[in-house]
Amino acid sequence: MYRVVISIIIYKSNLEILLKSLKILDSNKNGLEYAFVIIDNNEGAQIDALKAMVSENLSLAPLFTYIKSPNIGFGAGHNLAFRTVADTEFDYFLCANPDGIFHPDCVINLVEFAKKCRDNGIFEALQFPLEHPKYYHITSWKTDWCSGCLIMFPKKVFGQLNGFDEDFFMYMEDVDISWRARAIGYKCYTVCNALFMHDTLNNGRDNARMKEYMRKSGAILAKKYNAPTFMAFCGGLKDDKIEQRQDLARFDSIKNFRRLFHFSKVRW
Amino acid sequence: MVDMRVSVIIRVQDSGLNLLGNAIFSVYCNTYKDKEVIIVYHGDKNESIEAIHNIIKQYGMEYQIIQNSDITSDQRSKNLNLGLGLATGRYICFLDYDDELYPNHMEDLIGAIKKSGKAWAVGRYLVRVKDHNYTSRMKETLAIRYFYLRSLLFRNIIPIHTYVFDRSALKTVPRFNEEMVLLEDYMFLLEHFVKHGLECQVIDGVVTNYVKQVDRVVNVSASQAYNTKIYRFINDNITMLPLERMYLGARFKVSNFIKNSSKRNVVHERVMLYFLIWQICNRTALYLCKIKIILSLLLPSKELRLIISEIMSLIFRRE
Repeated sequence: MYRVVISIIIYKSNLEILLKSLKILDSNKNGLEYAFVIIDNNEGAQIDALKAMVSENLSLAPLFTYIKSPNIGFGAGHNLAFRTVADTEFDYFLCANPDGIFHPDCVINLVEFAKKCRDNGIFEALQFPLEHPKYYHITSWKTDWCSGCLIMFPKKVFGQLNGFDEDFFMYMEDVDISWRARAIGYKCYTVCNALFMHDTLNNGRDNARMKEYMRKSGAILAKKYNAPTFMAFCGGLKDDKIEQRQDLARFDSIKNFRRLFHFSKVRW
Repeated sequence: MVDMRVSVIIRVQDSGLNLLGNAIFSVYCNTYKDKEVIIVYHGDKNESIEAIHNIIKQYGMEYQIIQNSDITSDQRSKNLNLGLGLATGRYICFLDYDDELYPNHMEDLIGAIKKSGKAWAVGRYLVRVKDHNYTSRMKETLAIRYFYLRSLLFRNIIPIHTYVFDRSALKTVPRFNEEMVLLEDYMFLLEHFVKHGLECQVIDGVVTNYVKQVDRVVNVSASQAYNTKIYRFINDNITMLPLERMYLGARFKVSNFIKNSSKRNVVHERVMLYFLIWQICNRTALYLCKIKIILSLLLPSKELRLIISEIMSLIFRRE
């Protein structure tokens, strides 16, 4: 029996969708053991409401850990979740978006595929109903990077990578961790029979703010991987702390800025 | 009839059971709360019914399964009618086992029905080209974006899962023509359009994926036969201008020619002629549209603009 820790960062999230997603895991354990870490990046504003919903509706309620946090961002949030459970026994660390819904076979298919690859990689679920257009190989399912929408790491791999780079507040920390994983010999996979509903078309997000976050993160990625043209495309870097970073990675055979924010060959 | 409830009718046969899970998952993900699923199983295997129960039980949704065990012929229309007979909801939507709804599908379409007071609402869709599990392409069809009801006469632009209708707003609940084995969804809309008109609200959002499997085998001769049936139905039941009639004839002949793969490489003079007519009609309609816009901008008097607009509407005969 494999033990999976599921880390979810919430920030003014739609708790009904989150509950719907957790209900699927509650009624379809598929022989897996779960533990959940919920980080509320809004100083815990939604924790009480979520706790009440979980304890009322889910038999998995005792397996939940709730953490209040200031808004430290996506990557730092998941790192905090990992540190919280690092001393416990588990096989996989799964980071999921709060606005998505697990397919009943999603986690078991991810775990089974990871086992088939002897845990030598990082694994993303396929977004549904609108897939991310980045390319993955039709038979081997290898891809250039894994999306943080739902990404699963074997415990040792996440530890070895020291988690997400916390300089990225939101967006592109997943591209960075994927490239770093590939640089030390792991592969990235799109597990195309593991579905995760994530509606990027109609989610009503504040596009201007999202674009600003993407631009900022893009500039950090460009700095980190020495891509001046992409840096210019993102409008430059306005953060002295990152400007002074000395640990800059340069993986020329791995990085791919040719397709701009896709960071990969695309299917359409 | 239960007020506010939407009944989702899904038809499936043995060969589609492996894809049914995704269709049901997409229904579960819908944000609209009061919904029931009606699965019409066309087949005679008890283990398939068991499998359907197992798939849908995972979601804890309200559901019914009805079996049509007469497998001597393809009964796509009858299966949908069976589902309609069982539905308890005020709102009805259909879904094929291999297609998918977006989470906003029901909420947006039912919202549009309520807001507009019309009986039907239809949304845009994306075409997902699939080779088993692998999606090689996702593209948008623009047909629905520039949709007007008259265009339904020339092209089957509304797939069965892109709309919801309100039963309480219709005089009679429409039924599928059981003579149709293919294009039954197209005939369903056309028949309703001819008898009662189609009070339809178009929304701008994408509400479904239309999944095209690359290895799907199409029965070309059957498809041509039903295409011809549709052509005759439109020709016999709808009054059209000569230009429209010419366009319609050319359109169906070209579409039948394209469907016949064995003739794909043959340059057939007559078909090319029809194609030319079709193109000319298309262009003419476009130019008329442009003239209408320019005139309405140029003419200073509101009354004059209205008169011109009326004349143009007569030419187009838009509903």
